[in-house]
Amino acid sequence: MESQEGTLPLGSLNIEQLQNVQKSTEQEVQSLTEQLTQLTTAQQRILSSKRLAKEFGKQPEGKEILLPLSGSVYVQGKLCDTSTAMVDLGTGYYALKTLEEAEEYFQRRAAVIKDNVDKGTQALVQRRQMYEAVTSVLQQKMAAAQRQGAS
Amino acid sequence: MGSMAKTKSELEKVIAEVRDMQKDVGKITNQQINLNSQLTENRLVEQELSLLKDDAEVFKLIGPVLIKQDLLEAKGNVSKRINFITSEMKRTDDQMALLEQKQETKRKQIMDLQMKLQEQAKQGAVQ
Repeated sequence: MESQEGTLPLGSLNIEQLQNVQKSTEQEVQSLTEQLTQLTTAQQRILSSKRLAKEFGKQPEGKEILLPLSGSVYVQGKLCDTSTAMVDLGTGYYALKTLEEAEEYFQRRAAVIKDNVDKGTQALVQRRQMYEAVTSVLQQKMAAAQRQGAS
Repeated sequence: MGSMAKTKSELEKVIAEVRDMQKDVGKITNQQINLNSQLTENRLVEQELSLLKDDAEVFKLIGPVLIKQDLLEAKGNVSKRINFITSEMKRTDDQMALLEQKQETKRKQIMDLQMKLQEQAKQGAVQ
């Protein structure tokens, strides 16, 4: 088991140290899980933007729509240009893009996020394995200590 | 006993100082995380701006309105911001290094004081 963890000889740590390692690994697992959830939401948002950009292009010009002025007030409007869209680039910058460009843009963004999701998942799997290894060594040590105390 | 109480209160003072420093470390760490994510976002924007055609229309969201901006100006602003963030990161790194150094000295102080306390306790027991 320990050899899988590479440089860390878990068996050489005492119970207190193991508990510390266990705790910090648990925290890492938690924060990684949180990060991954956030990333997945961002990914979904971007993919739905991408899909919507595509759908929007299929709408006929002149089509009547309702524009939200606020959450509860809508005004009538007509589509007059279904070939371009304003795209949020981040930090307050927006750019007018053709729908194809917009799709490409969202594709790029999604790829960056997917990369991060993959990396995060890998790290999470690793940390989980580490956590399990530490827990099992810790249990063994505690059981041994108990046996010693009993005899 | 009087000297022991003095050492004890001194020790408590130093421990409290270290605790304060740890709070500062936490604050700086948060700043670093913030700066890092800002940097990432700005880098992404910079990259996207560089991919735009020269005549592309770029807008900046100011409050609830989009204001048209010159692409070159936007690029300039973003790279200025990246510079600013990078220098801020350097500043927090320096702060952190300094703080670690200080903590290290204080830790040594704590160990010395603890040793002193033990000595004094021993002497007290002998007397």
